[in-house]
Amino acid sequence: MDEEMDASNEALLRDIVGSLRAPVSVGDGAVERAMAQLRREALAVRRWRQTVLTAGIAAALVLAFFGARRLRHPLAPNNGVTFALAAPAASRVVLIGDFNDWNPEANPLRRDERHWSVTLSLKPGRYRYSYVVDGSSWQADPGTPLAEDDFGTPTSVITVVN
Amino acid sequence: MRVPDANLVRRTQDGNLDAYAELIARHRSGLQRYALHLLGNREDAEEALQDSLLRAYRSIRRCEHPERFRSWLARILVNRCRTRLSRNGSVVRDSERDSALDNAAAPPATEQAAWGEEIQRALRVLAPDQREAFLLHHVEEFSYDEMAELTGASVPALKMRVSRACERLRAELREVYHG
Repeated sequence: MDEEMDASNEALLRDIVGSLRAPVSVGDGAVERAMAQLRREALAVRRWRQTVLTAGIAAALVLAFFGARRLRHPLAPNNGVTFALAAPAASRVVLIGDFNDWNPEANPLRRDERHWSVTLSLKPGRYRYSYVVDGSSWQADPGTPLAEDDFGTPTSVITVVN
Repeated sequence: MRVPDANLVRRTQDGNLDAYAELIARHRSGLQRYALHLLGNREDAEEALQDSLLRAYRSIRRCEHPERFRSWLARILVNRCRTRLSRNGSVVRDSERDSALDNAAAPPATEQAAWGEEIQRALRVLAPDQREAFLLHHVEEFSYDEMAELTGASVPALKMRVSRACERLRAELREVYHG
């Protein structure tokens, strides 16, 4: 009797499971919508990367042209070192570094058409420095080598000679 | 020759969306079935599924065992379904379920359709954790170890839930079963 009951229970469970395993069409739309959204996102990322790359190349060309003419570092004489940055969209750029104790009030740059610059008289030595654009964005000088920085902020290095 | 899931996962981790599409094509039927039977209505199942697929792609780099992608993906869906249940309560909207269930394998004869509806009614009687464990083990065929990993429950607890779910389903359906 117990065996008959067990067999009957097993058959019942098999039928339940068999019925539940049948494919359902609910969710087809969800899968398609999810994949379409992911493809749109992937396309947007590709376009963004392309734009950033193009802008980067353009900025590098501008800096290579103007920077080579105007900057005299990383090996600069001490009778006046000009620091310059191309930042046409910025409203304020300051120079901070070892020479001014990283004081953001000490050496603001002046705008000259599309470029910002300031000339300092520095004693011979090696200095680390950076630009702060619009009060919050630290930028290394694209025309000089990067310095080691404990805080992970973009910092450049210049050596002033006699 | 079929490319292993693990290879497709690694390609997806490198940003290959076509590889992800292939993975989803392989596993979508189980995901769709689980979401519908657990939640019991089309709208919630669709939303949980879509949300899960987006989340899975965006966090695919955190899939540490690509060879166990199916379990990893199921875990995301299980969590999304739990969230929806806790938000909506476990009450199933009957009218939606009736139109949502679509036995594509065999167009239902009247008797089969009635039997299908009885099963859905019996599933609704189960506590959500029992329904979850029953569907994962018996319908989606996950092992208890896999289930423990993807639900966070212990193996003994899961066995108990499945056992109780089976008892309850039999009790609910025995009288209408003509097998």
